[in-house]
Amino acid sequence: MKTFILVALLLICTACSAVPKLDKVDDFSVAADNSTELLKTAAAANRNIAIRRGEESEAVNYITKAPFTLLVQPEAALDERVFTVRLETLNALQAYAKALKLAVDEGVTTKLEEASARLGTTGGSIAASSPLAGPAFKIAARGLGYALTGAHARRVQAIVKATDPDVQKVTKLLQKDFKDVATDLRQQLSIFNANRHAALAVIRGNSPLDRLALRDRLELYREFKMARQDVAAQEALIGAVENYDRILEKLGKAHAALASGKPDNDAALKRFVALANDLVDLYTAAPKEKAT
Amino acid sequence: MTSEDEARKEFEAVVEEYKEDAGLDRLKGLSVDIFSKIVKDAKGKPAKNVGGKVTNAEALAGCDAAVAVYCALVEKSTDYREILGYTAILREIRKEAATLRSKKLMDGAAAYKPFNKTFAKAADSLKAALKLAQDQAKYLNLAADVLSVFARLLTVL
Repeated sequence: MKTFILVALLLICTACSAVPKLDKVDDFSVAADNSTELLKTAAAANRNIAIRRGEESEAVNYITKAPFTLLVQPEAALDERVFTVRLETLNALQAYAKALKLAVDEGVTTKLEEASARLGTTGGSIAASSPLAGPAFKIAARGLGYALTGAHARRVQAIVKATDPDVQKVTKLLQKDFKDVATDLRQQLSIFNANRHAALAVIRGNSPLDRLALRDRLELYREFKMARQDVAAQEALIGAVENYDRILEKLGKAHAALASGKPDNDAALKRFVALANDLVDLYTAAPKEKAT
Repeated sequence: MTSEDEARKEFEAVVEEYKEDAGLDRLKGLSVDIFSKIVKDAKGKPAKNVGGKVTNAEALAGCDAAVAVYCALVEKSTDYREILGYTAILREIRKEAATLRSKKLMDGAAAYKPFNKTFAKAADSLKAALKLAQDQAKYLNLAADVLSVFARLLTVL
């Protein structure tokens, strides 16, 4: 009979809904932050490379005695609204991730369970007329705490489940769009490279090598090294954006893991231990009740 | 075969030729021709023979192919005048590519709008669930406080 009760207890505890595990919520929250950062990096790269391209074109205009401007102007960048519209959605997703993190914070469930345990202890001390009443009151109060925690977990899980299809759709949309953005940034870099190439070629001119003084050749060498570093710096920006598939895939997967609603075994075990302790108190009190 | 069909066929051929890594010089001529046919004529006006009937996707693919070709030509050339000619063409093609890709991405932007509301609503629901759980814990503590006071009262009585 005792074994049966213990097994039943374990089953009840594991069947109780638990909020998603905090580390999984953290994974999702970090993925949402990374995706937002990715978009911001792409927007910055779009502007920076376009400005550098324009600067390079104007510099060539200057040294070839063509009309030039000193005004900072991005040259044929992607429309900035392309990024702001998507950023709005990612900001909303980040706010959702933040709210989810707060809702599953262990503090909430701990507060509920502690409050119910406190209620059980206080209630049990009043019902001192019977030795069984105290432990029984404690179990009932703990049950109430678990019921409330379970209801909270079910509400959170229902929201996560209902939101998951939209998170997956947004992930797919962003993956598709980032492919275009990354292609565009790579194209802008190729043209920046071509412009830098043109500037170097103009500085060198078409003079034969033997007409160049050693100092001139050294100057050209330095110019070349600087140009390479310029291109490499822009390349690094794009390299970060080209990781888009891996970063966005994590976003979808992390939320899908939350929506799958796998029970938190640690929480179930903690509950089982607490309830089993209360049950031991109840068994210990039973002989005393018989004796009275 | 209409001029439109011819341009389309020629355009597809350019892309295919480029994929097969055919001679860059031959591609240069073709891509200039196709670029001017599907996007703009030499003076920057919309091409008359095709007008706006070529899809944005096709025009964008044409621009991308042309950019790749000219960037490769810049790398290959040692004559700065020739390079300056290529970069001037690249600037024009890039303007078109940026406009077309921005349009493509802005056309897809409307698809994001409904999600802003969904995520905001989900965040509000989570906040409400959190508040409810916090209130419940508060009420349980209040009940325990009342019982505690009641117990003390019983002891005194």
